[in-house]
Amino acid sequence: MKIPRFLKGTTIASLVAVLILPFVLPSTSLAIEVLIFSIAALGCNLLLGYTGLLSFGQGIFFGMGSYATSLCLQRLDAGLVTSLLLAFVVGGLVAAVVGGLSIRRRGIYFVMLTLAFAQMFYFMAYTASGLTGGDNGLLDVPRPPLRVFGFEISTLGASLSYYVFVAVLFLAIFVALRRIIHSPFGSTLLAIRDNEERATAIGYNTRYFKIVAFMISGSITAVAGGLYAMFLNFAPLSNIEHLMGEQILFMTIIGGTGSLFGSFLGAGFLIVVGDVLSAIWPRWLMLLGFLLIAIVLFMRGGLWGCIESLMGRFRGHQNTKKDPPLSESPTGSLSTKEEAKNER
Amino acid sequence: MTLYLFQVLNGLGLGMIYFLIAVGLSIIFGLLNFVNFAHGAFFLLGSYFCYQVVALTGNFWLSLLIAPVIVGAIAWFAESNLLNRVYNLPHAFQILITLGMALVIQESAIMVWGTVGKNIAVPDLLQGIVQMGDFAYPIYRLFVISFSAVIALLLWLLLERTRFGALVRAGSENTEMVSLLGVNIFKLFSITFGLGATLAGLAGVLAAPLRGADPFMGAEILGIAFVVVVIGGMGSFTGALVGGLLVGLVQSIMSSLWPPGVHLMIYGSMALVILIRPYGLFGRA
Amino acid sequence: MSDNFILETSDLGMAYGRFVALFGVDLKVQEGTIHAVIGPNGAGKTTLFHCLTGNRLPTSGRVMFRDADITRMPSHRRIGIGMSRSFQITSLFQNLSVRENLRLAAQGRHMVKAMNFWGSVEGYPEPLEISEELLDRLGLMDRADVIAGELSHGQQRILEVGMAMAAKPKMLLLDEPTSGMGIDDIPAMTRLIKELGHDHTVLLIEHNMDIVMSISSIISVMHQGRILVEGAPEMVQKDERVRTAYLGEAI
Repeated sequence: MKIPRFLKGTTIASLVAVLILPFVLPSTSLAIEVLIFSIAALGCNLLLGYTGLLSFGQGIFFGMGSYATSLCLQRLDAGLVTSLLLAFVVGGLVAAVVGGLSIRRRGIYFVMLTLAFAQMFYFMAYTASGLTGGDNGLLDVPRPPLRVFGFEISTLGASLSYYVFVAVLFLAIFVALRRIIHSPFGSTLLAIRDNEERATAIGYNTRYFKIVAFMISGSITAVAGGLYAMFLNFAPLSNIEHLMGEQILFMTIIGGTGSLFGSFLGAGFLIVVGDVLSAIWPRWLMLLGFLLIAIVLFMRGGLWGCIESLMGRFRGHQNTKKDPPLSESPTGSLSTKEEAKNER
Repeated sequence: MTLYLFQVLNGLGLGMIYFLIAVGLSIIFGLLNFVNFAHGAFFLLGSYFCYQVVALTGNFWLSLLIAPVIVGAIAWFAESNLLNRVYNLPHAFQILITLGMALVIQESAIMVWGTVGKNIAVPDLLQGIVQMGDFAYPIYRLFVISFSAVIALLLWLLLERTRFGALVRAGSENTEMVSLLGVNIFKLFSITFGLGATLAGLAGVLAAPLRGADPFMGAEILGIAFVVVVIGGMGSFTGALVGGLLVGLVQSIMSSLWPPGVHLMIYGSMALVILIRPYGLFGRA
Repeated sequence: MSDNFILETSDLGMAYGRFVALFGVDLKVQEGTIHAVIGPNGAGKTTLFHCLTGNRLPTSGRVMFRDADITRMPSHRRIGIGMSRSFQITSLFQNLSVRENLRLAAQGRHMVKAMNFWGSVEGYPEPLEISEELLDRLGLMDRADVIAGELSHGQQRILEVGMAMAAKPKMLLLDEPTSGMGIDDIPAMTRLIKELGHDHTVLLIEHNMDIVMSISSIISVMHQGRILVEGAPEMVQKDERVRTAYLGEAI
């Protein structure tokens, strides 16, 4: 039997990683956090790595997901699956609006729009304290048992059982995204990232593609937000802060935008290193700053890019890359004034 | 009525500080087509250097002179050793490297000065209030308005009446042409970048006695500076001035009417301007 | 006379502020011809091209394609009505393979199928078949898996035209296909365009007079935003006004 492509390669790597993660990390909750943020970074990667859209708005979707899930659990007394589904839908809809408006501009103006929306949603959440709890956030978010068709599968009370649940979702999303990337739609996203002008000239309404990419990204990120709220039993205001979006962006870039597995690497790296270092040295963010600078100067493919070039050296050839990292996209750059003007 | 006058004057002062920060960001963007996410960190450094100089010498005026220059020098160094390597990279990398720089500066500030904010006293000469009938207003705030107005005028003269200014304006139109004129374009970039940072540092010094110095003021002000630049139009001196004053006034007046809505309104108008008039009020199409 | 015009512009005008680039151009392209537009620099060729491809909205006049008004039709929808273009400055998916470039170009014709995010690329064979066919026709089969950015300049120019062919258009708009090409590569391009003329209408903007004279059926000479002369190559070549227009510029 022929194994579908989306089940090969890094999918195996993800499966292995998910299996060993709780055993190599100091605590299960750290492992849960890694996978939740891996999901968020996957959502970000679809935009940044595969469509060429640098969005500071990922925090919006994450925060909206965590509010949607929490409110659904608290006020509607709904179950786990329903609440996460609601987050999925809310994330997709919000992303359609935010993304749909933002992509009306290109380049730096696009980035600025996502930034403005991130701030607007933050201050909206801050103001609407009746719904979001404002500065205090939503306290006592329950983590209900996992029920499918009325059958209770797990109470998810223990850390490990919640880990298994998050891990299954992570793998499902990973496999789904791999499938999306290798679909006609996904291949078109790469084309848009590479050269939008040509993509338009050969018949693609690039706007639709970008909006759908935003919706998928928003839905996935919102699910991560919902999972995070249930993990913390708390939906803090910081979930929707623009720093959250920034953090998700950092994870995606550190991991490498050339591969979905990179998102897992980036999230894992930032969370584990952050956890270890912040215990030793509270100013570890400075190292993160230096790391970001180093990535721009020396390793634009991120961690995945490093692994890839190491593997390439090992095999003795390097031109096997299918999804080139962001750094090699010449059209992503705006080196001339003319292009800068066109982007408006 | 006097309450509104008070708010309007506050808004002007705030607006002038915003202008000083934003104008550098704007000119740098116009000339280098480069978005500097570390610009807020220069503002932060200005405030902290002011605190340090005042703490050491007790002299605010000395800090007004020294702090911006040191900030400018640091920016110059960073530009000519680090940032000049990423001009040809996609915007994503320019954003990333300047965000990294901002983080390094912010964390260094915490290392040196701690997480708790520092207060800076208003200099003796400018303490007290001006009384006009039944209206009273702090002298220092009036000083901020008039001093920044003088700086704005000097900057305008620099940009409009000197060879340097002509080069900056020409470079904003067409970088290649300026380099064809035999100008060392990279030197021009460095000077402009340093100048922009100096102005941000100056804003930091002026703001220090009003709001103190704290480690997160850089990130906070960066957002506002983007709003100003976007509303005024990237690359435009007039835009930064009008945008700065507009945002300052709105913020000051709104905060007495509906405080929670201030930021919502500011960022909302930023989004609106990009969508409707992407080159801002004064930017070139 | 039963003229069969596939593309017609009527009174097409374009002004950038006070500068007028096109003064009421009436261009008629007969179906099945290779129609070249030439003219000295600044004659308005590029502006005209932009108006035809939908990159710029003309300030006056209309563009008709097969009797439908397409003046305001966005660029991406023009593929669907059978109109396809190439770029003067090579515009490929530099980081994707040659095969993938062509497959994407062929896939663009069917937006709905291209939006399918759950099926696999292999599950939609038509673009794959078209790309194989084109690889063969363009002589790029042995370079099919090379990243487009690594092709030689001449091959990139060929692929540039191939991208426009992949949509199986009725009409091809080619913007200086030989632009920047070395003398050795030009015959291949000339042959390709000539072949295209057998089953497509081709509108060509070109600087290289040898090519224009040898393959065009009709030539429109533009000068200062207007069509100065129009006719068969031999006629245009002899026309006094054309010589005057080109005076100072080597033909």
